[in-house]
Amino acid sequence: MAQKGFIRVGFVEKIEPAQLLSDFLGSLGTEAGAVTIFTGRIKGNMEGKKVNSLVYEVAEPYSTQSLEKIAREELEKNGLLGIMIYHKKGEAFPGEPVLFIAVASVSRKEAVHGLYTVLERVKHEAYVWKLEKREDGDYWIIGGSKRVPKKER
Amino acid sequence: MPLKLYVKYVSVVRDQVGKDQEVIVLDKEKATLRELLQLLYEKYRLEESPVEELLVLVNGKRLDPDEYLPDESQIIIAPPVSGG
Repeated sequence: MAQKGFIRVGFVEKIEPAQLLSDFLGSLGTEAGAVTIFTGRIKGNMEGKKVNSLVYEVAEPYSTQSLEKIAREELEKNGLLGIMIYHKKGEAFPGEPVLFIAVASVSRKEAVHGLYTVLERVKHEAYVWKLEKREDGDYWIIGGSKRVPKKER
Repeated sequence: MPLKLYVKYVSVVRDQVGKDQEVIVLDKEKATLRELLQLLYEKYRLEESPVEELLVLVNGKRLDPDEYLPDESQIIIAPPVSGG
């Protein structure tokens, strides 16, 4: 009998990819023949300007629920054995890991495809918003790439 | 009985509105999401917002604009998400 898959998700103040991967691998049964992972990091340069930090804003409990929805739907749709999604909240600095996704399946195709699908859904569906602080000012990032200067209050 | 709504503004919408959150009390028993948004657009000149399409969550869910808002709803008004 196939083991039921598991999900683990959350918005956290610090993303530690090595620890998360270790936890994920330790949770898998022997039927998992493939594991894929993605780690997103803060870029130090954007549009030719130095980036000082990104500030991730969430609206809980709905933000965590949005990650749960993505993970649960993809787990069922693709017959995966496990999905982990951890996303940064608060301020992050260049080089810092801000997103960790791991996907496990019986064979490689499902794990590779599943990872890509989960990543794209997190980028477009997770309830999280960011402010980019850089040398030429602060910018709200709207959707994928639109930038709007932050007003001083 | 008046309708009480808890509204939270996120990101660039907070900039436009000038506050983090507020309690809106409507002097009517029923109101649709569309009616609330019309009120907020007029009150805060949201048509001048650089955001073309707002993300609105009512108790964590996207609602059809013509659906009625439950009393004491938690409403989040935000720009499109930017994860990762």
